[in-house]
Amino acid sequence: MTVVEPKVNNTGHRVWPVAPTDDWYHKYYYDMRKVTWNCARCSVCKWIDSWEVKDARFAKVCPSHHRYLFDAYSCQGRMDLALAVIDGRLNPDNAPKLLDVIYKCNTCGGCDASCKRHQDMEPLRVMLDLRARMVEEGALLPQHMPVLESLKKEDNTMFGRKADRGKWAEGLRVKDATQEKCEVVFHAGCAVSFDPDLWKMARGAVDILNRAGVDVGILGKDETCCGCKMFDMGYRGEFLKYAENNMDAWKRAGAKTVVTACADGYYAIKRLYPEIGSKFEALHMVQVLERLIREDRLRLSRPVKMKVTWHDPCHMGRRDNDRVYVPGKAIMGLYEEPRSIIRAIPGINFVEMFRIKEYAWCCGTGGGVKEAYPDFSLWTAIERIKEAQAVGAEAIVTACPWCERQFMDAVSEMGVGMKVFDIIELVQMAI
Amino acid sequence: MPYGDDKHKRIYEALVNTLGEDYVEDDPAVVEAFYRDYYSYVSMLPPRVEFWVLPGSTEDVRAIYRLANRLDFPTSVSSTGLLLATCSALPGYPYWCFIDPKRMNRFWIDPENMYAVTEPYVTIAQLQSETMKYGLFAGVTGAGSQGSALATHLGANTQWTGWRTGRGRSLLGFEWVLPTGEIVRTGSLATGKEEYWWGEGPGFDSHGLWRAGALGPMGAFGTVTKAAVKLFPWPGPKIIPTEGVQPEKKSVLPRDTFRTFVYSYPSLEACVEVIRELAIAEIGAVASQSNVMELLMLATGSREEFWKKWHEPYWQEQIHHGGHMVMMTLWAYAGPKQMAYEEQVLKQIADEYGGKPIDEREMEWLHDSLTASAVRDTHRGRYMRLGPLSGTGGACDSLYDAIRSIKEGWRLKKLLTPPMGDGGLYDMGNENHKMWLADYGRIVTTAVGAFGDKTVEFEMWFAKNVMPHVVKYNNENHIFSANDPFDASLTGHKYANIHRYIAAIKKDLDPKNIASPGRLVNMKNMEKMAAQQAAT
Repeated sequence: MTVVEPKVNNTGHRVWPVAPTDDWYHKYYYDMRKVTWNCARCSVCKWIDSWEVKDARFAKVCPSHHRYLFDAYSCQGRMDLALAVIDGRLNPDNAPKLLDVIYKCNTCGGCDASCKRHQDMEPLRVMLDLRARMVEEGALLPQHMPVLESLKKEDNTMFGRKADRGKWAEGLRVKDATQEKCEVVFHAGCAVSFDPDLWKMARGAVDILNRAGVDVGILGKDETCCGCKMFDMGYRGEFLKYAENNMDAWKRAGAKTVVTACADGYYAIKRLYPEIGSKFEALHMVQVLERLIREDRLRLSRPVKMKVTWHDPCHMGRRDNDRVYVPGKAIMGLYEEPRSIIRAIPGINFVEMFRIKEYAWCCGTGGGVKEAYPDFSLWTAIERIKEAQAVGAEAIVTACPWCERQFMDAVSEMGVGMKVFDIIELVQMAI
Repeated sequence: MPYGDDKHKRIYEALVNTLGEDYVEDDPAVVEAFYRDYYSYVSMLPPRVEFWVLPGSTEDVRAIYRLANRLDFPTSVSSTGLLLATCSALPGYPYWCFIDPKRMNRFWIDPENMYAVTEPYVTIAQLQSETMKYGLFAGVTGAGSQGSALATHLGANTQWTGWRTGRGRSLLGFEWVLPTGEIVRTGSLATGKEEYWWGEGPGFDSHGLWRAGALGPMGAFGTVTKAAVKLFPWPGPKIIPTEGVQPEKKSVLPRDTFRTFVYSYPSLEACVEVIRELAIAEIGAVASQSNVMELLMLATGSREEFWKKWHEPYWQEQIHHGGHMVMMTLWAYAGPKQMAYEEQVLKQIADEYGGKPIDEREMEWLHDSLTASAVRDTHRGRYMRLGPLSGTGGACDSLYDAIRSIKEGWRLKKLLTPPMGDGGLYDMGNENHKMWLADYGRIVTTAVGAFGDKTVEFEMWFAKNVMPHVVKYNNENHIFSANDPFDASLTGHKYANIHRYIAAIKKDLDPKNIASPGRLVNMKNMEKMAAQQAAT
């Protein structure tokens, strides 16, 4: 904490500066305590930007606060908690619900977008660092233990067998990157590999890459978790281990580029891996598709008569930013690529939801919430489906297998006819 | 420390029996998030909130108050949690229970009669987004659009558009739970029908109680659970247009309907004369006496950009000149002819009083941000990233008298400020004074502010040394403090004995002093003073 000393002016009075002497107020830099200390409780983190509010029903940005209502379950509340932990006032022994509050957050970053806009601060980084601190101190959420066990034994977070990881690609014409050299590795990710409902998306991606003449391979059963979930849950050591595993495998395959259709995987490879020395180019399939369509290497000629809306996955949306925050820099993500792909499909009727881009409502999977609090996770997805219904969409399209699984479960739970597509499926319909 | 003792357990069980387990919390991790706000020194004052409850209805609020009276525990109420400590969360009371009406988030609109009925947890942005679909407008206060529409219509309701629509006059019929648990329905609601179209009466008009100071009674008279607010015509689009991604997001309202002008004047007195003339001409939808800090704060995307602009020669010139600016946004309710006419009148008045429009290029840069902020203020909190703002002046007064309090604010600021440029510190000079204008300038809420470091030491020093100056000056000069009668209850009679009047009402409405006991008036101090007076 900066302590400002008064000065004595020429009239003999003790005086204080009328503008801060702490350079933090002039040029922002990340300091966990300063961020928490300077949280002004302005409540902006609970909502999408005021200018963007188009419908009162869909104005909130924080699933956790919307669901649990107590301020502790909002970003500003968690800043108070973080401050209390830093200052030694709270710990799991004197506050039984401490971990519950910390982990009932999707780490979607909606609050972060609002706070950056308003206060130039990075509350999401504080929340992630707080989790890492709790893990370091041995304060582990019991509900997360099975996921860690699965990861340790089977290298995935889905409780699947390591040997089954490559099953999604059976019969597919694609190089085995563990045996052959390839320029591009397609990283399927945990969610796709162990969910047969999602295999068609990964198979479609490889098919499109093949058609475009890309020299692509996969690691099959030797692929491991990208570590993104571990990072968001605070397990930095586990993240590091899997990131290094993957990078070694890609290096052995001679790949320069990693393509994935998973938003979590994309975020990890694009934003987290470079911090530990990765030089691999990371591309999400929406970038590949957009480029192929733009260069006329992929022609979308068959009409798809459907009214669709687009869901921005957090990890390829607002979280797809430089990890070192640059104040004033736009909170960019892959917003335009998927929209331009959808608009390029003949016959399609594209309609936006109320909360989009940096203010998109989360699907509810992230941050270990799906594993620890499945009811909350599903509730979050149902909220998004309701929003898609409110704009009259027949189908919700996205580009992340975690989101898709969530929406499929939500639609099933609600018993409604909303269709859920990966953007790759939509493109395949139009080819 | 009563936390965890038998009484705590009794209260917790009673609250759970009333509201259900999901809506009552006493876990330290959960209640930790409910004691602090912008002013950090509050966080140093024990004890903390012990209970946090989420009523879902008027009946729930009644039940909580009845419990509070029966089991003897203090309560505070806050809706969006904005300005928590300033408004309601004054620490210092054992068994403190915070009433958080987040489940009370319903509202409806009567477009034909131009009002909306809202519960506490509906924000201005939410309400506005729906009223605009009917071509109607609910004004936004300086606190920002994330604030509660109901709460900001209580109290002063100091809106951007208050210039035309008035101060505190938009509140119609409302439903009010007294601290004793009784329900009061005001205005046309008192007929027993669900009719909200009229606010005043029956009998004496209780609205005045809710307009106390700039912030209202802050829960000391109970909780308003439902209120009708007046809506005004909105000449703009049904949805606020936006473009870009944060923080480069823009909202460009059509300039044939919305145009903002900022003129710089030779003195504060000239600003006041101009405001008087503008009022006589009855032009403009938004008007305020503004300053460089506010303009730049609203338009810059980061603190770095703010200070960069602050140090540009043009803005430094304005700052050293004193920042005597009047900002006006014209809304063309009746079409382009109205816009052309009002623009002409504004220019004539500005010319007459030596006004100079601010630099064309700078105005172009500022224009859309200022115009959209007056419609749906979304940037107001940006000042907080520059450091904590402490007020060396603040009053609610008539237009001419407002000059006095602003000048006193300057005097105090000067007293506490090193000479310009001393030690490389940022001297804001007389900058950062603001007049929120209501009813065509008939009522003015003033503020003079200075930034310091956010340290407990600084804030405590400020509270101890500067605030008493402000209160003393206001009292001695019969200026009503912008905050609340609490100041008066500490210093004794100065301003029409308003603190005694309010204390008498408070005693009747809340005999056990369980509703925001640390706010509005210090009952213990009042009783002590009364006893001393009686003894002499």
